[in-house]
Amino acid sequence: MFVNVLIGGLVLGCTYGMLALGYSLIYQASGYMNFTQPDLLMVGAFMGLTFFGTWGWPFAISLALAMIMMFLLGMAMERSFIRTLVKKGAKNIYIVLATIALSTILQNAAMLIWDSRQHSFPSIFTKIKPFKIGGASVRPEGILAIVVAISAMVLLHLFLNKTKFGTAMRASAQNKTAANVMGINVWQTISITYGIAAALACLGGVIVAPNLGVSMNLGTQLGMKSFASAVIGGYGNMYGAIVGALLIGLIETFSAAYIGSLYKDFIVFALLILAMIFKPTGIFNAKVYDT
Amino acid sequence: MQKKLKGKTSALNKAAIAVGVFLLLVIPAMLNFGIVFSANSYLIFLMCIIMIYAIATSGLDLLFGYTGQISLGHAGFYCIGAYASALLSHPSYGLGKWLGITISPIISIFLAALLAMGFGILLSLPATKLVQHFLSLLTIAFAQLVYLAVSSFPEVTNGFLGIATIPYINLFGIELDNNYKFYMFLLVVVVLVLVVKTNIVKSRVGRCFIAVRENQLAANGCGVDIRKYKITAFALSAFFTGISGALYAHLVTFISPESFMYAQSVIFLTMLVFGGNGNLLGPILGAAIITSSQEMLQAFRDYQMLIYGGLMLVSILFLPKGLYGLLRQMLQFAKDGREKHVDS
Amino acid sequence: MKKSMALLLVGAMVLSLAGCTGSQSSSTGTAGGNTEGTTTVGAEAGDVIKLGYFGPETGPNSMTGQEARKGAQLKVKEINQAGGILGQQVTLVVYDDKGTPEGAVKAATRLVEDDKVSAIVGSQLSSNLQAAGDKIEKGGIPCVGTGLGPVWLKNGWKYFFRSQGNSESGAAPLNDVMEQVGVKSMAVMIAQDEGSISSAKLVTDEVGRRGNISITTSEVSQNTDTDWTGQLSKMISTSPDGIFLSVQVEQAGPMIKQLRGLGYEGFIFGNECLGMPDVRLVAGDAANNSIYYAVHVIPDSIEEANSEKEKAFLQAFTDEYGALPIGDVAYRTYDAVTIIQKGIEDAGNTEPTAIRDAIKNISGLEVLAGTIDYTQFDNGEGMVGTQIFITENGRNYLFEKYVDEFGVPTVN
Repeated sequence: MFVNVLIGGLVLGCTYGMLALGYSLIYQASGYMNFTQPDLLMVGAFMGLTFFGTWGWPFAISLALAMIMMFLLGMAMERSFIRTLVKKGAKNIYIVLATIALSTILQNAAMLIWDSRQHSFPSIFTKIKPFKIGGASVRPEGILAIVVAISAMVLLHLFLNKTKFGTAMRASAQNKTAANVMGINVWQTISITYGIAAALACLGGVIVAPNLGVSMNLGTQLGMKSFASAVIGGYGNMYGAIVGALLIGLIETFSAAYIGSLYKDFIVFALLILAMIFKPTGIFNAKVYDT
Repeated sequence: MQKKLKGKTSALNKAAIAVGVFLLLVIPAMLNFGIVFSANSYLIFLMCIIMIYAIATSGLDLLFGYTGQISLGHAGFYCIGAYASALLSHPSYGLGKWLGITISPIISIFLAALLAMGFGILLSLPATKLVQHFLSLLTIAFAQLVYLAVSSFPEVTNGFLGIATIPYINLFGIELDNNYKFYMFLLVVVVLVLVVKTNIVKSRVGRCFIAVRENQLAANGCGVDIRKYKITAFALSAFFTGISGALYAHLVTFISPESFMYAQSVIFLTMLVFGGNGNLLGPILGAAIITSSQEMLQAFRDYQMLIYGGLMLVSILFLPKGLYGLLRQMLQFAKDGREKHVDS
Repeated sequence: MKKSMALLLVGAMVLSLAGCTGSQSSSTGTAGGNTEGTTTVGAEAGDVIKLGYFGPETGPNSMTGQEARKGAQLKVKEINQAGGILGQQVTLVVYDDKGTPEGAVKAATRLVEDDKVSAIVGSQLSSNLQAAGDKIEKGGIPCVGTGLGPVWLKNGWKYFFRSQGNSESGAAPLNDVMEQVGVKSMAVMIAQDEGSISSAKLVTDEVGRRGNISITTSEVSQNTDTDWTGQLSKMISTSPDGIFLSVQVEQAGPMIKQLRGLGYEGFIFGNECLGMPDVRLVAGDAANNSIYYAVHVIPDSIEEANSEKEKAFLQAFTDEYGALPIGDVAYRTYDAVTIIQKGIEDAGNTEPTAIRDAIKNISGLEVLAGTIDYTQFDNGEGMVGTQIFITENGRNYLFEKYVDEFGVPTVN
């Protein structure tokens, strides 16, 4: 049982991690919290389902196309809504509220475009059978989730810290005026950031869909805990997002198996609150204190 | 000329007050007793819900509108208020089940609010150290924890089966067992809440809240203990929202965890932002408009929530000061127009 | 100036609400341009019988909620096409209770006081019936509810009825089958919602009463859960002969998939949710070897219907909406309207209490679920009778029929 629970926890953690990466990315690159991430994941999953499942296109093409469309959607959202608010000098809370409103719109638009049922995402690896690790049977899609999450984490971290564009993104977030002075096109940078985050959510959605199915509530189900993961790991830190997510996935699964399934969520959130009280900067030390 | 203007406005004032009182008191009475309108307690029920939300939102206003602290977790206090009052006053759950005593709802409501206030203080102790985004995160986690607490311990709260037949409020021997009686009671409560809020806001405490909101550094420099006032704001805010939760429990007489999820916190904040924060009227306007629009949108079935989200987005983009701000602007135009006319 | 404006504005709100509700009630039922199942056919004001319906159009149960509404609207349309009841056309006033108790109370209040309907078809969510029940009972309007939990008919209300057997009647037959296939130990998973909790309790109480099966562990699933590895692993590690899942449709499919993915090959037991087509759609072959109780299951095609009556219903449903129903709630609401129709016909008028009395005396009414007889019980139940089904080879079989054809399946 232990191996099952361990692997299950890791896969679940990577599931949360894909979203958590998005949260931290947007925060690190724009300074705002974005509540539309979970729903972008859901829309991405639905798109993947339509291309790969309903229309039968090859998986790689379905994924690429979905990610491109989500990238454009993310940019469009930023340009039309977020930018308007920021230009007006609106307080942070209004931007947060705007993303919440967008989240409702995305969910209900998805319900109208597709439907409110639970859908099954077809297996990606039809030729590979589930393989055994230490007596537990693991689906290849589960391994894929882990591989993708960890690669995404490393790639994003490198991107943000070692590439010119990534550095430009961080600069724009920390101080728009200074970044502008340095010749960075701040608005475009932020737009692209939102686009990347949306594409990331889409990738996450398509990767976790085979395990969890696709439905309009997919995002909201994952959202809370992914948020918690990002916080525990250090909000804004790429490594933190995944590490925090893995931690939460493991805690949740082990609590369900060894303590009691009734309390598992309670335990996770109680730990989150304790973590926020005693170490709000998270594992990787993000900046959280008030002036 | 000034005097003439003043004379006119005070007459207008009186007329406005009269109409307002008429609408608030007479129309519901007519609805209840079937005069002119056919007897209809649905509207009265709706008015009660609006007033309960108005109290909750006013509480949130103290924290957000005046002190500038974001809370996305006020459903937590709402929930604590509701469940605490239910468990204290219900003969078959909580106190009634274990000790065989029940507390009269009027008192249990107050105690529940105190409990909510206690949690508010507990929450604010760590919260007040954190920067904006993390504060809202903590409030979300708090509300989630409260929700999980009431759903994961069915021995106490009956979990998702909910607590039914919560006793009616007994006011000096009169049972508030129908919507109209509850409505009249709520009118009094709302007035009280507004009076208390005004007093808080106009006092030194209120000015310190605003100081914290506007510029923490400067406030600190003037000797304002920021942390103390933030905690006070949390406490008061939790108290009011707790009261509204308890009132809700005794109005609907059935509570279950589903009413207290994250979405409820968002509704409170939406009402506040939409109606206008930092003033008396905004929360009430927000509560009224959002609640009635939710009902009116029923006609659109599938498209309900989509339109609702769209309206929210539009109002956030174009009405940052909320409805209250918009109305003031309109009044200002009208005033300017009139002055101009009088001048010439 | 400010305070007076305040009063004025809030007062204006009251007026506007009054105005909006007034116009609402005359247009609900065909509102919003939705044309699924037109509910008024040539109706004139005053000449019309008003029936009410409330259920979850939006919210987490919206999928089944919308199916339920379609079932009711279909029956109303059929009634109208056949000339109506007592010569009058029927209107169905529909409200969305959003799946919340508050929404249910609001909807019920509107139906009872604003629209003044003659009878109500109630929500499939037992907790919503609990919440709204007081209002409806006090208003004296008969309500045929479609929720399966026994709880809302245990309050001593006199105006409530159920349109089919409640979940209590599934516990005993399911236990019989469990013993028949050789289950000696069982692990249980309970989703945290009222329906799942009550059906689980009924089954496990019966298990306890008989004493032949031991329950190895009882786990819980929250409705935001997407992964049950922890719980399922624990359940499997206790080596049970059977696993009982008391969950809603949305969770059943993914859960069964994960369960099989963890290597469990034994029997899966459950309530009627396991019979919904979506479960087989999502879980695929993993859903084989499932045994559950239900009043009926939706066949994969109209030809496979269990009776002529069902065939006719499925044909009409498909003609109207373009597809077979995806939830058996559609059957329940269809039956509910049939029951109300009989009540009004027997009463001879549309006075709510008269209708209630007439319904109370119904016996021998054939509906999709079977035969309704309210005179047998005094609390509003009208039927006992659930059957056991098994899913094998990707389709549903009546358990008895399966045994005839393939023999009794046994625990390995």
